[in-house]
Amino acid sequence: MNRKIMIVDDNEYVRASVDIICESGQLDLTSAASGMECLQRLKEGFRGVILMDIMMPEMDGWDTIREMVDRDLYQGNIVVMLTGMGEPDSKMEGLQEYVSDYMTKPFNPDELLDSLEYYLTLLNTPVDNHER
Amino acid sequence: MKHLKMATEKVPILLVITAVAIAFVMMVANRLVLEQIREEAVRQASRQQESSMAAFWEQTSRHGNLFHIEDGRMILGDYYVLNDSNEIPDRIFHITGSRATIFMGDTRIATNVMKADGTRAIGTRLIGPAYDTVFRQGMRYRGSVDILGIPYFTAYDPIRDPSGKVIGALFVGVKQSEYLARYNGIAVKITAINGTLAAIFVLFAVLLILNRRHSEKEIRTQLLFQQHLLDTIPSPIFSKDALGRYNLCNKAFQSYVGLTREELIGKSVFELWPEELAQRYYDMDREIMEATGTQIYESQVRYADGSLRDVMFHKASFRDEHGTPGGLVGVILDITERKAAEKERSLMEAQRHRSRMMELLLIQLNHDLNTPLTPLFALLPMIRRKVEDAGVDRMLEICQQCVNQIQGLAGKTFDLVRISSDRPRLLPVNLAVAADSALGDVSNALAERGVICCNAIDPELKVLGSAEQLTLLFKNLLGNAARYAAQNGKVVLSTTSREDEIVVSVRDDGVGLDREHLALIFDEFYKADSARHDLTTQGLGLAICKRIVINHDGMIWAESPGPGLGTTIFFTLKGDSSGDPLPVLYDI
Repeated sequence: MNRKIMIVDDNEYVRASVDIICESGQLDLTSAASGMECLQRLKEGFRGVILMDIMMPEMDGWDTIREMVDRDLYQGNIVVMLTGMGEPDSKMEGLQEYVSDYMTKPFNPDELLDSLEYYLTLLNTPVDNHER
Repeated sequence: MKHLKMATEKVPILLVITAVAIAFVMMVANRLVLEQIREEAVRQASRQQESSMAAFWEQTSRHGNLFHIEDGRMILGDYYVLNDSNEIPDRIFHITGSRATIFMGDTRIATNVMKADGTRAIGTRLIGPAYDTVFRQGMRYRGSVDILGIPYFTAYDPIRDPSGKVIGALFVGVKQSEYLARYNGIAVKITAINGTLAAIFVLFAVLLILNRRHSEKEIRTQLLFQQHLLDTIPSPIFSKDALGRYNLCNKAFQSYVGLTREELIGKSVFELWPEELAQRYYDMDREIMEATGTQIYESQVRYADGSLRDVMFHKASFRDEHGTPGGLVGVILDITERKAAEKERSLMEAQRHRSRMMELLLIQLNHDLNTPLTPLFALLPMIRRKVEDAGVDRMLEICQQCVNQIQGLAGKTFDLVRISSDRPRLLPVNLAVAADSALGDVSNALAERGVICCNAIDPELKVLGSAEQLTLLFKNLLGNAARYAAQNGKVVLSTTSREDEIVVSVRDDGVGLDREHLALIFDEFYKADSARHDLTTQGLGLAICKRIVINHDGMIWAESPGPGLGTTIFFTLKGDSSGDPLPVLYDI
């Protein structure tokens, strides 16, 4: 059963706290400090639930999703966006269909774990209803 | 305009004088020519009389060469009696066309000169200068003579007897009237032709004058119209001639400089303004007159009424057909209001820019605040779960609450920025659904204090608004109610209709407010005393509510019977009339 989670966030402490939460929930976490790194992990074969920060330097969350789709790296993943409130959303046009959920920062550890468990279940269900 | 008038007045007089002069010259020339023709005619008449006389003598010589008087009769040759011998004068008349007479002494004895009654003038006498010349001086006479009152061109030759004594005379002559008839005909024709020409010329001059008068009238009308048009234009307009003198201005220009048209026209800048200023104007005008095209520049001028105004000068030189500068025209545009509007606009633009910058800053701040909050928010509960020491747990609880407060503040501040920055599109929204959505968000807070919420809003009621903002509005109001309602109290949401407005009320049974606080609670960061030290609030909730209601063109206010007696917040929204059944249209 796939219990792989990837956190894509440029903030080291966010990544670290997600790591701690995932560890407490026995989830297998991969950390990526940038969009580029996320794509690299995907190329190396990562498939799972991706927690994607939107506001990142150079390549933001939306750019990363576009690249995933363009490079055929999207299949087999579920993307949950991590948003601060009121971040610019003009770039999400046409990309929303690739996003399964939005999680507002800061988040409660229990809520996060509940969400991740839910999407992992979805990912591991043989019916490909999460694929678009 | 005066110069033009003078010029147009001079021209007709000149024209008339010229016309009359030409007519006069023609008449004089006519006269001279006719005089010459007449002189020639008279000379011809004299020559004719000379040859007639020669013919007369030739005729008489056929009968003899000697004349004498015998028994009261004049005899030619030996026997030819000349008395009543009219055939000789008649032959002369036939040959030459001249009348002829034979005188014995001074008496006509044979003649074809007729008396008034048509009979021959036999027996009448010769008088006057011809008589004197022929009979007294014994010489021949040539010239004009009145015969029986009618003027003749004449020739008299004395007849002498063999002793040389003058005994009579031969006469030939033509009536001047008959002889000059042809000349008179010519004279009449020439006079008529010349007269007609002179008349045509004068007529032409008159027509020209009339035409000019008409053109002048048209020009005057046009000038009048032009002046009227200029006076109607609110911008000062003027023009100057090549010497820099004003030759045109409108009313706006007069009030601009505070001088009348009469005081301005024909004056140069040196006659109107102080030397130094005039010299500056003069130099500027020179520059413009020498340049081509329109010169536009902005300036600030003081009108005659004392007002300082921003103006734009448009000046251009005008040139005649040879390209010589003939003066300049100028228009002054008052752009004071435009300037003020521009300034206002740029101020507003700057204000908008500042707001936008502030907004971006707050968004950035919100993000930057949320990022470090995320680990704190995520890790604190986990740490507390691992801590067994009650004292440490209490400390962590305080930390947790501080983090909550920071997060709440960031969220609320962001809410306020977002709803302030853009005005939402107002669409039909189900009000009860928006309230329910908010209730879901605050249900935990309500449950914590055992507060029951009763949503009594008509489930079908629709208002014009933004679903997102209305939900936020209810969330803030219910959040407040959850905080200030009585323990295990009750919050009631209800509506009433007032004309096209919906009045929504959120009533709690909590702490209530005194009069002085009622108006202040909608201010940013205001907290009622009891809440001043409440770390879970930010004092922004009702300010956000107020902003949202303003965005919906509504009003918000609070009512409270007093402290401890509960508070009701009211706000108004526009009802959605589009949901009403459509009026039935009948085809007529």
